[in-house]
Amino acid sequence: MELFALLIILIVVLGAGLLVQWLPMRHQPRPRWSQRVPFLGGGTPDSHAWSRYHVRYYSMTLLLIAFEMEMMFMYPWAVVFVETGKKAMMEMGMFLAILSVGIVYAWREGVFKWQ
Amino acid sequence: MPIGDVLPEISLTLGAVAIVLFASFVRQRQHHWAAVLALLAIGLGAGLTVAQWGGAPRLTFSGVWALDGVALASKLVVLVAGALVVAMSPEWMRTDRRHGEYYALVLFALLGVIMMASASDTMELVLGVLLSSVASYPLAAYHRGWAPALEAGMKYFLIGALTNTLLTIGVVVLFGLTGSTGYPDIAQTLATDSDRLALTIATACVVLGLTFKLAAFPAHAWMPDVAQGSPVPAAAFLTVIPKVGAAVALARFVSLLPPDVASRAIVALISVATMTLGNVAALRQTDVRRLLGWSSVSQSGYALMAIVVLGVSDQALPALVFFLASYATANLAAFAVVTHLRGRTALDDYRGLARHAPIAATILIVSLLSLVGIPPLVGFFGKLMLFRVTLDGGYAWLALVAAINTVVSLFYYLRIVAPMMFGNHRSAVHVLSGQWARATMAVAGVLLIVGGLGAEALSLFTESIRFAL
Repeated sequence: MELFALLIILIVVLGAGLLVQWLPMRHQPRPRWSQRVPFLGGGTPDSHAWSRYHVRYYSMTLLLIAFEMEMMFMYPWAVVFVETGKKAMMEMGMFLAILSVGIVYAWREGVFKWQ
Repeated sequence: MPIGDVLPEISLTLGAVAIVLFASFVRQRQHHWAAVLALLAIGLGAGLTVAQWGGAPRLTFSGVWALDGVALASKLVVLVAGALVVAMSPEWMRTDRRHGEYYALVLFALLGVIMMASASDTMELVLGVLLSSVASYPLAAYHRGWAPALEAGMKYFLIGALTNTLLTIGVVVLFGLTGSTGYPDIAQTLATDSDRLALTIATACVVLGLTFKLAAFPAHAWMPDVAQGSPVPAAAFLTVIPKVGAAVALARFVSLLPPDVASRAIVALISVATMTLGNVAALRQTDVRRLLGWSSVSQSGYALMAIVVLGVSDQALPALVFFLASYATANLAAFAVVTHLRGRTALDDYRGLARHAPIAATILIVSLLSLVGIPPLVGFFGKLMLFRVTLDGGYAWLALVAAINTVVSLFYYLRIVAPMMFGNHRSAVHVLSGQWARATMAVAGVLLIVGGLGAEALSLFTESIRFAL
């Protein structure tokens, strides 16, 4: 019964939302071509808005590991750091040093260049 | 923290990091110096390993890392084999844009294999398998512009992803069953009482995961493609070195299981299937590199024989390590010759090689005979010890199957030798210019013969080769 009530509420809310959008649009003309083209700060686009674009997930993934994964280890480390002190500092320092070699390598490979 | 216990591994890590930085900042033409760096790191690691030899077998780092005769001996085998692989590479990789990074990948893969051999904890085992796998995938597909190399890398990666997942599932089930990841605790809990169905599932998953690194029966399909398609030095690496770590890891894992899991029967079946399949598939090959890949599959089957009789015969572990060392030497010598001959791979091209390149042909013949197990060579002693422990352990039928397989394997090894000796040669023999591959080939050939002559001396060390557990 509760699920049924929830379904009714969902339908009513969705209907209201669509109605609010549809009411002011009734008598408007379709947007012209110049309004529909991708916005390029005034320049005319020379490719379609739906053209395929290489996101380069591969290098993005490597960068995520190099920049973000260390944070995952640093949260638990921050808890232990208070008790262990200098030793924990040294261990995290070694870990970060090796990781930063990865960032240096990515920089030399030109991952940070916008192509 | 007992840092001194992992000094060899630290030297490998630092060497790899230094090589990555070196390769990033130095011009491509100077990258062969990265090979020298890698050899230095491996030599330092081997020296530190020798320094650890002789201590009582023990576990260190809260029991996750084994320092015993088996771990140290297999570490030495892996490091020497890795040094040979590095030494045969510079001329092959000379024109590659990413020449320097290749050595860093080799060092990381070596580190993973060493972790597999030393792991005394299931999580450590997973880490070792993953590190060696992830560093090996790019090695297999290093010439990424060439379709067979891509196919080999893709096959290797897909089979690896599947089996590594299975391994992890097995480890998780085992953790749920025993509540711990350390081998001593697992052995203790399993010895008392536990759910047999769950234990069987966990065992099957872990064994399947390790057969991938061994290139044994259910997960062997990548091996021939990798041997054919990847750069020849990388193929030498991948046919030999992961096997050493995986065989030791499997032996360590199987020794934990209580006797009623029938792990012996499982491993014996895998062993028979692997050696027979590898030999039958190699019979009609006309591509030498692919043939060596299939022969490598069948050799994994022989190695598994020692794991079957583990605990029944007290010489099983020395036999395993010694066989792996002899196989590694022979296979690396064969691949060093192929590297020296610029990856020449069609069987027809080997016609008459003995007349035009006598040294290379001799070393190739010696290494193939050693793979069969012909007496004065080191391969004979490896196989002899294997057969002896198998008979000791009461597995006469397994020894018989292996003997039949050895006779069959003689046929396809001789299929390479015969045209080399008696065929007529047509065109010139092209070899890699430079001394690295030639010298490696010579060193590996000398090791084959000296190892065979000094096999008696090596057997002095067998007393200390046993598990710490």
